[in-house]
Amino acid sequence: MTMRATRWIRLGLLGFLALGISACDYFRPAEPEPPSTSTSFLPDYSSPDSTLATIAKALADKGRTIGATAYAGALAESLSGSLPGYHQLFWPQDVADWNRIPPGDWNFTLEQTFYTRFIRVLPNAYYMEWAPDPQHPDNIGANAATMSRHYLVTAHAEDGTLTSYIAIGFADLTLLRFPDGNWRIVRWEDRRDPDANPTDTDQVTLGMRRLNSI
Amino acid sequence: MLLRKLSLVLVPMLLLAASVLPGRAQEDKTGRYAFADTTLLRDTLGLTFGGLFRLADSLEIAPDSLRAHSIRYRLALPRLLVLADSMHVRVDSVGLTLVRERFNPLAAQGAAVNDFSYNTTYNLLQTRSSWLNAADYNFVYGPLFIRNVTTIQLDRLETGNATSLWQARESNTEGGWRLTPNYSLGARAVLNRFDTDDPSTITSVGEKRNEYQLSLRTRQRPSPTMNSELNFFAGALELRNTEQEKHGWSSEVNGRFRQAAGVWFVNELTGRATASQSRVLLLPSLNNTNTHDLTGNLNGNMSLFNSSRVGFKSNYSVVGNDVGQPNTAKGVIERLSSNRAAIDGALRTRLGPEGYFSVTQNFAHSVNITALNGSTDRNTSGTLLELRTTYRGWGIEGRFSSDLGRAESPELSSTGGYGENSNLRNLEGSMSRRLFGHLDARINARIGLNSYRYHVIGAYPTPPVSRDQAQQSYLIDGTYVFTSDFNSGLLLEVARNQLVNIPSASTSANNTLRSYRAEWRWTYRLLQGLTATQRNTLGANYTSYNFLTGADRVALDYGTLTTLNAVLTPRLSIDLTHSGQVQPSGGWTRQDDGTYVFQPADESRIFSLSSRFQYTPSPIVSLSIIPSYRSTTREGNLNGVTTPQRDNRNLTFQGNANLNLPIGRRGTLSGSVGRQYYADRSREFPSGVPTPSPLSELDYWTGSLQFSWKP
Repeated sequence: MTMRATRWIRLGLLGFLALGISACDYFRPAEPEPPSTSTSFLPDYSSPDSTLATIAKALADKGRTIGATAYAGALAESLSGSLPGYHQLFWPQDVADWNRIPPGDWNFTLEQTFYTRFIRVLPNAYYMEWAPDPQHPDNIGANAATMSRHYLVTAHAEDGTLTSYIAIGFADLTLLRFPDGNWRIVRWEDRRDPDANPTDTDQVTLGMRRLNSI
Repeated sequence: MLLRKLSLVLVPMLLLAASVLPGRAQEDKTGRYAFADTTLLRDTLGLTFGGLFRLADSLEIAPDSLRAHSIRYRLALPRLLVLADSMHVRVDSVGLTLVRERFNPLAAQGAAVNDFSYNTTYNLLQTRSSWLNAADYNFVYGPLFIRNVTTIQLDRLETGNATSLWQARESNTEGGWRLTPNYSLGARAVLNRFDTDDPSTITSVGEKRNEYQLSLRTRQRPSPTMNSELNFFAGALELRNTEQEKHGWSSEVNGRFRQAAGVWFVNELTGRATASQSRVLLLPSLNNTNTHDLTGNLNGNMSLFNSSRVGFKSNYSVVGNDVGQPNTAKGVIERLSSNRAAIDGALRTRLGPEGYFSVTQNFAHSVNITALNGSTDRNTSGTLLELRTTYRGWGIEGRFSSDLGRAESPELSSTGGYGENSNLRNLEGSMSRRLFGHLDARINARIGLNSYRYHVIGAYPTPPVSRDQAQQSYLIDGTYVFTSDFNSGLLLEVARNQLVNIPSASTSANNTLRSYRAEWRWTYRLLQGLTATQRNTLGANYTSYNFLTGADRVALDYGTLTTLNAVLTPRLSIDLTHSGQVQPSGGWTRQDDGTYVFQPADESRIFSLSSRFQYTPSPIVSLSIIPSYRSTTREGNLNGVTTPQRDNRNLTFQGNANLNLPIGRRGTLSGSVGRQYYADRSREFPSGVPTPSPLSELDYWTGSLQFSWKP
């Protein structure tokens, strides 16, 4: 190796070293603003229906305030430890249309990632509605509940007009009441709504949105 | 049902009479490439890839890209290099140049040509099949030339009980007369058809487009160092679909220019521009209007002193589009336009026989205007420093990149939009060498920061959250080669990732993820033709939330993977793989005395057993059978009591036959065909009572076969 090449190597190495050392601040993330003491909404998991209402508020929040944390808090396993896990089951036709083998277990971690992606599907404001499913009555006990709900997630312009559908379907849910008194979802079984318009590609289940978020 | 399952085995057996895909790896023996992806070295389609990494390094091209070019054009690496040298083009341009010149009427040198090639490809998936046919005919007799390129793609999609068709046909025919060796005059017809009967639409959708044009091809060679081509096409245009009926004129200009001076200067330029002016009848409103479309692109690259110690390369491109698109609801033509200009320059110097140091700077500007989101204006610039060399036996690689971006989308809503400023920085270095004659060692370190800042333009309710994402990691890897039959390695990787949301309203999600991973692996050749490999891993991910108390979590991961590879005969090999993984997770709680304790929440145990039988009876066919079984059990821990939550078992069975079969002297049949079977069953435990789910099964054919014929 020539002296000239050796000099180049040393210069290059020194350059990288200098860059690395002087770059401590260059690679340091910014200081965030102090946490806000006021939040846009208060998560409430005191009953199965209030847990579902919290999910609707978390989607409407779109991650601007405590949406992500509130959404995670509605699902079992969550952040408080010592809890059983959350599992989502897909509607078979959604899996067939997706045309790939889905994850073996759609769990809490995947659901958290889904939230961050789902809220970016459209820039508009989101609105979620839960409605009872008359064909499947609720069975709510002291510490466990099974209930079926119809859900509809829509996007709206600033003046409130409906711009598009985002998700529509049924959810067969199992919730457990944990020692802290909060109800959390341990099982979400997705079903297609037969009244959804098949020609509207936005009228898909949340399960399909979950698959598409991978 | 029995017959269906039997076919998984029978199909490969029936196809036994046919070939081979050898999958033998050829490893580089130097320490520098000890950690490279050796699967890239596997022989395929009669091609070998010995010396791939060293060659890719010297050509400054990614090894997988070099391999892909070699396979696509069926050219062995040495042949690819010889052609690149003789044609004075880059290695990645050899294939394109060969195809272009083969069908250039001005390139015919007097001899009569009557070429025909045909390719057909059939792809089969679970709910979709696709059949592509492509024919290419070239006839030259004296000054007369005729060329036809036809492609037909037929797709079938199954949704529920319905099957929909998607069909696209395209034919491009040109005939003409070569007036002089550098000029030809002729005509061409470009015909496109598209049809689909998607059940989600009430009526079938189709499009018919015809263009009939006069053609003028020219070639110039003003000096021995310069050559160029310039082609003109102009004529009538007709387009019909469910949205519009269009009649008018269209034209196209395309060309290329190359200038070379000795071995120190090469400049290549290609470009294409199209324009059309039409009268449009919009459907269903029946509004009549005039419209025009303009598209163009210009791409070039220049290299200075490419084979010298210090050289310079630059790529530049300009793309512009301004086209009209019918809005059937409003009955008007909406304009869509986009423009992009980009340039980069790389100054490179060689360091030793295999190394280099380069500095690259790039700039790009783009404007996109769409009916849905209005205009988006983006400016980016980036700097990249790369170092790759050997120094006293060490292979050294370094890389620093900094990318700045500024984008504004002010018309996302009727009242405004938002802008984004991004700053992505990354510094990475690694060193590797063989120590003491037996130890292949590698050290890698990386640090990076991605910053995104958003500002509202006008009024916009939901801009993304301004944030920083920081990453740091280092990795130490070593493999000790005891003998040619036995080696063992250790790896340690530590990483730290931070998410920092800046606005106070979003800081509750701020967190730091610390990851630790250790691995011990060994490979031992037990017998001639029988090798055992084991990989044991330990991992832990700690997530701590900066502004949420009691929310910290930990996820642990213990895994082991054991593989037995048996080569029973030169044509028959069997692989057996067993893996086990235990993943407890739960809360990571800080106690009053400052210590942290793990509060188990749940635990997954995943075990799988798979095998692969590969039989290669001849160089033209290979058969593989891959059964695998996987078991997943998940338990939850509530108040110190462990209860089952869910268990799942699934079985997958794949049978495949790979072909590379010569048909006569001019045809080749290649690809694969196989069958997949998948069965899955789960049990849930609501209130501790096991509730099994119905058995779920998938059973379908897959395949991709390609037949090509050329004289």
